[in-house]
Amino acid sequence: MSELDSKFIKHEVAHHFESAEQEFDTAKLGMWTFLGQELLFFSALFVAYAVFRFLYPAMFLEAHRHLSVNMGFLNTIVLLISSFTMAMAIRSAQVSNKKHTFIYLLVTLVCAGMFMVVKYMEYMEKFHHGLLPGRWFTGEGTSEVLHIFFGLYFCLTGLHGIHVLIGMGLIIWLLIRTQKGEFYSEYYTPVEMVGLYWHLVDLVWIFLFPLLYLVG
Amino acid sequence: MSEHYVVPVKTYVKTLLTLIFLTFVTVKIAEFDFGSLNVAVALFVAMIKATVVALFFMGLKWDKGFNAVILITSLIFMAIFFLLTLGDIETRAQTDKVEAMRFGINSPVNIIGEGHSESHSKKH
Repeated sequence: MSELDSKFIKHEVAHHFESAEQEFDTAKLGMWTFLGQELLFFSALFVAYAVFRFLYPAMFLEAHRHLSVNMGFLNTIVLLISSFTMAMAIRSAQVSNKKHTFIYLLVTLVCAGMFMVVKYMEYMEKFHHGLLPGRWFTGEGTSEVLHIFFGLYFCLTGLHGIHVLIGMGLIIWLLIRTQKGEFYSEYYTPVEMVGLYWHLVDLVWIFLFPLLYLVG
Repeated sequence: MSEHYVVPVKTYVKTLLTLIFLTFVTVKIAEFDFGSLNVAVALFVAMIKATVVALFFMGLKWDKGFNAVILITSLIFMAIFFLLTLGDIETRAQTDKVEAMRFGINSPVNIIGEGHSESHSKKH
């Protein structure tokens, strides 16, 4: 610990915890509870998706052709890589490697940014063709209920996109704290928690990709 | 805290490669037509991917069991949500056509070509 002292800010365990271990486990339990809630939160939209896909299967087949599989595929790969770099950032913090923690977090942030740029391009293309949700829909199609798909598309990817943006904010916060030398083998709780959140964002996209882009 | 298991880099690399491989599988199998099983097949691969992410990237494999219990509880409640809602929709009479007429809801879609609208042709 002595050689680490010079490089890192020593973490003080909050007074209501017995040990650093207990503090860490408590945070993790809370985080998992939050993630459990997130799944239920997203499931409302997934249930809506299931209901409408059950009611109008042919409309979904028509609607998904408006989405670009290549864009969706690219974003899937980008998110998977970002999940990997996030896991590596946590690992680097565990072994007190400040430089690697910072670099891996930065790569994760860049991947998240790339994801949002691709998403932005996709949204602009939809706007251009009037494929907007609900009553703002002005697009063309053969199905009277085509707008329902885009209502679901924008709610699902929009909510997911908000999660990515929040994640980016959290990663920037981690980068600042990493730079200050707050994370090392004895304390990396925030890195671990943001990591869990980030993997959940990836997890949601794993389901969104086949459900929205690969209906046929 | 030093007693926490540090996952080997090799494990994370393998996890990433597995997930990328499964993404290719997802795209490839979407090209085949399994009829009504299309969704089931796509979801099956997605669930394998999700399990890989949860076990390795989220570290549930090495974690305290209680965190997995929370996740599984959440999934059970999701299943209840899906089953009851879809059970309701499947056994319900066609009400949307009646409601659309009552509230004067017009479709915003510009219908093109010889489109055979399926909006009110639920198969039962």
